Amino acid sequence: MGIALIIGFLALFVLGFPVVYSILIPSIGYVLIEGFPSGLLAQRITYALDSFPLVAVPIFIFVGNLMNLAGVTERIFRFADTLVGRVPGGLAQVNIFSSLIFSGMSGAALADVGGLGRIEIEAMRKRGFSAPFSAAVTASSAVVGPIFPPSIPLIVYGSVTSVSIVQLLIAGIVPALICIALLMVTAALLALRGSMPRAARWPTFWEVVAALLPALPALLAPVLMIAGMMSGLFTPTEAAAVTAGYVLLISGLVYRELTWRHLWNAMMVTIRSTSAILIIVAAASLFGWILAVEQIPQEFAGWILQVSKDPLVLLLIANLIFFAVGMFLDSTTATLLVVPVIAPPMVLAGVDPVHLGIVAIFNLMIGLLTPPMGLSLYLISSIAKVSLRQLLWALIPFYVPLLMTLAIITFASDLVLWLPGMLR
Amino acid sequence: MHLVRRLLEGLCALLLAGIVLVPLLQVILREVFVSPLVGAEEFTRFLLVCLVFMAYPLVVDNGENIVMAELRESLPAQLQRAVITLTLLCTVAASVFIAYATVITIQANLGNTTPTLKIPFWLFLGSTALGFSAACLLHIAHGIKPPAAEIGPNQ
Repeated sequence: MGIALIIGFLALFVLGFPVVYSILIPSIGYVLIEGFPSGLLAQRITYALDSFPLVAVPIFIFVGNLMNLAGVTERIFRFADTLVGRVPGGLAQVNIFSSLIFSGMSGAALADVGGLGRIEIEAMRKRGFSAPFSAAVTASSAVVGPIFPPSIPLIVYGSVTSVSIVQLLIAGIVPALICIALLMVTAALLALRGSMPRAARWPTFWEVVAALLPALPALLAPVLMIAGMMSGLFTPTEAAAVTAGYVLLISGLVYRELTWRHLWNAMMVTIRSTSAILIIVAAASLFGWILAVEQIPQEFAGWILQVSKDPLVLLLIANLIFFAVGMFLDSTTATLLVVPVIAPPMVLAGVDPVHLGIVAIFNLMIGLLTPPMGLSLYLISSIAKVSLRQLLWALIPFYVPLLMTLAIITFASDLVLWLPGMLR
Repeated sequence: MHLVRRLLEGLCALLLAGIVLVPLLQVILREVFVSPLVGAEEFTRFLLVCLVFMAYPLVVDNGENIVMAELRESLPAQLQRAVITLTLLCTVAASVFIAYATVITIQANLGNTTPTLKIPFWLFLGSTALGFSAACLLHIAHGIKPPAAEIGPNQ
């Protein structure tokens, strides 16, 4: 029956049913066939969201939307332009560096693509970069967003596995920095080979200061949040609320670009995005319960531990599974449905659940850049007005640093666990 | 219809404001005044549950459900229409069933409340019933007049 449930979900999903109904319809069928009380279904769905860590999700979405609408994004971009515009690759480097700063305030890859991405692509095209290259740089650098704290996928992972969300968020810092460094090296190599434009000279000290001052309040937001979480002053949800309050304050009082209309629009987008994501969390809770009743995780654990008990081999298998799953499922659905099945045997064999979380989410984020379910690909191709084929060709060199980062975080668990180790 | 949508948007905006402000206030009261709010977490969780289900009709109305429509769109037109009709029927049936199951559960749990703030459970479950009932009506309305796009913006 459990296998029929999974097949039912996949069939409806592939047929183009909304994900929430692809999960709910087979689950309702199961509850009716097995004779469970229908009240159980309602309670499972409703109380799945009765979780304090999940409260951080709408707040971080709100912060990302607010930054895009209230002029914070442009200041980050201008500062990054002054600082790294002279590096080979010019605006491509600015694009990658800005994504890192932006990701320190917003936990969603698509908020980066949809907000900062628009500005970056337009600026790059004006300075003579090709549209597919500009789009490829934007899409690949946006992968960092959900790894660097705050991260909505890591919060969802933590709520599914009951792993410390603070440790997960802190563990993402080093992999994100490695990924950014490798992407910048790749952009520099491509720029040197293709004689791409860059700033005419290095900035003077006072030019850096002049660009830094307007961006400084925005740059302090991730520092405030990470310091607050690492010191134990805030929980991740409280850190999200403090960041939201801080961004509201700087965009209203310091930058003076926040209007009531901006605020209302940011709230409306946040409300709909939150509901679209978290309603899947609610439905997946019922689905997960049914899989547990059918003992699917236990059967999978038995099977996978027969293949190997070596944590490294298991991590490689997890990589393959998450990479393949990320090509077909969006990250929230994949985290909710696949992680509860895969994580227990991995942890049993000695894989650190925090390390596994970073590996899983990074794989799923690469999935945003791979067809057929690459949401980043579709969004960026529509923003940059390039065909999917052109974008995929331009992206090929950028898959190399992404896969290299994946290899590093898979094999060098100490690098990932170094910062969270300080909290243990 | 426009008025109902505006009312729902206003209510959801209030819920979101609460979700942001309550934890913020809690940090200020706890760290600055050493006087934390009792039940702040419980109240914020309640607001989240209500927000997600109450806002679901807005998601449906804007065609922002997360879907993978690539295969469906590559099907011949006649088959596409059949799949869309099947989707509509199944989503309406599922929404009705969840709304019904929730109402049954509310009737069975009328006296139950949360431990600290004594928030009645029927308020949590009521948002689920309301969300799926309204979503059901909107699915039917979209069946008659389809929305422009149905692609999720969320990751």
